Amino acid sequence: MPRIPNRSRQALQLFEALLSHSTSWQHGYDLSKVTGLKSGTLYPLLMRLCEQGLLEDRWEDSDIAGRPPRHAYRLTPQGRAFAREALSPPEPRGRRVRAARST
Amino acid sequence: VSDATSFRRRLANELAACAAALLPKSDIAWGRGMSSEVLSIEDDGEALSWAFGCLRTASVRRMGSLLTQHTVPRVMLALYLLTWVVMPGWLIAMILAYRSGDTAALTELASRTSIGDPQLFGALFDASMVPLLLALACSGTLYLAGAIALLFRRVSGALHLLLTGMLITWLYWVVGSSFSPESFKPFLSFEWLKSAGTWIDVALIAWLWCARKTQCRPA
Repeated sequence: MPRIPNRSRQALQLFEALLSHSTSWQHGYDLSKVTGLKSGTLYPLLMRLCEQGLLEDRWEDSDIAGRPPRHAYRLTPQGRAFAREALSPPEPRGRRVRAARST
Repeated sequence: VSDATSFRRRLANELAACAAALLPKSDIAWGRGMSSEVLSIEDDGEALSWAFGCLRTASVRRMGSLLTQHTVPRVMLALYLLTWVVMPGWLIAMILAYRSGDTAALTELASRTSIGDPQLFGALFDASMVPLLLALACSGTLYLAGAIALLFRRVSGALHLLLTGMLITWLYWVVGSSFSPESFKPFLSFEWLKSAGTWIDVALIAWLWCARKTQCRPA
């Protein structure tokens, strides 16, 4: 059975953090603090979501003078829809079957 | 700032720079992002931990890109995987030769085991010939399909085919060992764990695993 992409526990944690400030840009380290994900887990996720068009990134000037600009991320409209769907509780099996039959 | 703290900070910066350099060309922006993020973390220990994660990510991305974006390593690995087909193929040929009455084939097979004596080996061998043939044919076919899948950049498919082939071989050895410990002595002695080939194969599977993780799938 093929694995459903972006439904891992870590991906859902990241979606939750990104959705809580869905219109503002967030930095990698801030996302790490909110989700508890280490950079070795967070970056592959961010990269994959960007490649899939669910996440967009941009450069933001650092608050502290002399420091290089930081990478910031936020969900795209498609990403927001996907995240909401991924985070919504699964429908009971009977209802899904009835819905499938009615269509 | 103590010496120890400044050392951790320097190490973190160096590791982030290594990670940025290690990433494939298509991920240059990510490398710059990782480096600037390390610089923006105030705590030195946190920065070091963050930099280690960046290095891990970069290593996995680099390993993956070698297989998915570069032809030479992919073809080389596929050719190596084809050598996995040689042993099952050779064994099947020898077994079929023995079945058709060639006793030299049995002597050859026996000489490659700890049993040595062709007659004793033949008696043990006759009992497990059909399962052995099946296991060899299945695993050999799966290894061949895995090598072909890799050539066509189907990394995930290749990995699954190879792992299934290995699993079949393992199941044969494990089940066979429980029925006839004498004929599976080499397996039970765990001598194969000392072989460099075993660890090369483990490394190759890990490489495919890395490449699979970096391949982007639709959402």
